[in-house]
Amino acid sequence: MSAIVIERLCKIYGPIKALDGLDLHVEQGVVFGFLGPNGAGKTTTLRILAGLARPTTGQAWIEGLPVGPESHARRLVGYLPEEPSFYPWMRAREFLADLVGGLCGMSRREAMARADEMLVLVGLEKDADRRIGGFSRGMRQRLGLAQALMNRPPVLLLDEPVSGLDPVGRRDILNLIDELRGEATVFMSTHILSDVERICDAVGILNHGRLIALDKKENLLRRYAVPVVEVNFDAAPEMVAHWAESLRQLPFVADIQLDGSAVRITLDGSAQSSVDIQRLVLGTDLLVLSYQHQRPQLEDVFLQLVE
Amino acid sequence: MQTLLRKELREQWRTYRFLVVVAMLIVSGLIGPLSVKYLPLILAQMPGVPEGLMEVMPEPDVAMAVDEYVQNLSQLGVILAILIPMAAVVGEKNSGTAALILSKPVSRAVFLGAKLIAYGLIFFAGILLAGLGGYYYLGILFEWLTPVGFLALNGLLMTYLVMFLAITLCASTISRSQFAAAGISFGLLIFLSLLGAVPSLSPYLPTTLMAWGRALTLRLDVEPAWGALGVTFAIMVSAFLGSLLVFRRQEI
Repeated sequence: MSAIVIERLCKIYGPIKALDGLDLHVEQGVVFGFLGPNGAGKTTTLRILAGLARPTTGQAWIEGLPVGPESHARRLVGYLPEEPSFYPWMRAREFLADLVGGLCGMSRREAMARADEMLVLVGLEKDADRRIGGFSRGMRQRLGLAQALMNRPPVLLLDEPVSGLDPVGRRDILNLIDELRGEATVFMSTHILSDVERICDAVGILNHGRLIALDKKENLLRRYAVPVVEVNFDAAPEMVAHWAESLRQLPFVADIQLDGSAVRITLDGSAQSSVDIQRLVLGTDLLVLSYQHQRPQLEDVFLQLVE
Repeated sequence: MQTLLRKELREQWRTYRFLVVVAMLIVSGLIGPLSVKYLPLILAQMPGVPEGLMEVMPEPDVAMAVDEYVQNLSQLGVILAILIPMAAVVGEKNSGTAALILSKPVSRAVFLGAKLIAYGLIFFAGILLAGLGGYYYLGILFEWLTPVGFLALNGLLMTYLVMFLAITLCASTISRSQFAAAGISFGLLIFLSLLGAVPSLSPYLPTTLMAWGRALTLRLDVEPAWGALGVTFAIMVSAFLGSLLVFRRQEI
């Protein structure tokens, strides 16, 4: 059974179609990266899954239960909004143990123990009895993740989970999400492609409310990412330009960009093209300072699909 | 329900709303009998008071003191019942805390119900303490009233204020800002006052509860205002159900 199933989901806000027939299945136990430019419909999808918004048409299920504002599916979900808000007068431990634990139906003892565990996990144990009103954005983000994990949900919905975090915080949270692989299904929206590349097993790319790509990360890279070669010459820019022009007619060269004595060559993606271009570069009379065959990046896939 | 009710009560305490409401209601309850009793004496001591003023001032009695008590508590109580909960729902929606809470397995009815009960309990505490203080001063300054009558007066006053709490909660649910919510409640307060000018409607309006309570306290012979009590409960329940219906359809 899929952890998350979305079928023909549409959401219309006045003249704006935030979601336009979204279909999506997310397998159990994976870390799923939900990508898309601003306004693509990522947050709308997450809000529908969290039971905070209703679809105009279509339906979604979490672990087989239909989602909605009064749905039991909320018992199976931990939700972290993009900018989590808290009661500023509350203390972190109090918020987790008394409020979140209580809402999730935990006993007081269980909630206290779990709250302490969560505070250690997100690195807030020293701030457990501080008022949340004095927390930085990064600390609120960590507390937001802690509250999402309180009831050990099988499905985690994370909206930009590392936004607002410093590099150390970002690393810690990504490691934490990485450790959840297999234990919970993580559905995270983000626009930080390097994070997705680092921890996600599968990726869905949303644009204008429609899913334009959905696959395992490796398959997407294989299918869409184009190999690029960057060469730096120790030669006059005119000579480099002259040499580069001679490559344009080659069938496996998709694009050439010049920057002084550096050339960026985009290939057509065939296996032979990488070998052929290497032979051509090394066979030239120009002195090669560096030759780099770039690994296909998710960013290239994203830009290719979205633009 | 318990978790959210505890949170609401703790919030009222930590943000000093509890203290503000209770303190203001107590002061308001005490000042009525005291001012009726001592205002003529204070005026008599003040220099420059026009000659003959003291002679035309009526002799303070328990009826005047009860009137002052009811007027002070009902007027200040309504203002507090509008200003204190005006951000109860819209504030949480705008700040994002409602989204965090409602993504948990909790029903929206419980979310609203906990708020209404918490505010009701604060006002109950305020009216209770104001009533005890007011009863004591009425007793020692004028005459000891029948406790049952005075209890009924405060019960009716409480019902009247809870109606405004429910109205403001509803306004806070449907509006997009706390000031709009307060505006809606004040608008309804004015509308109800204007309706009072229609003689055929007047016996059925919530303000009639004050007159009924006064009569019960002073053991006056008046017709019970069951109609007004029914209308008050109807408005209260409608406001709560209305806010629930709207809130269940809203996106957070």
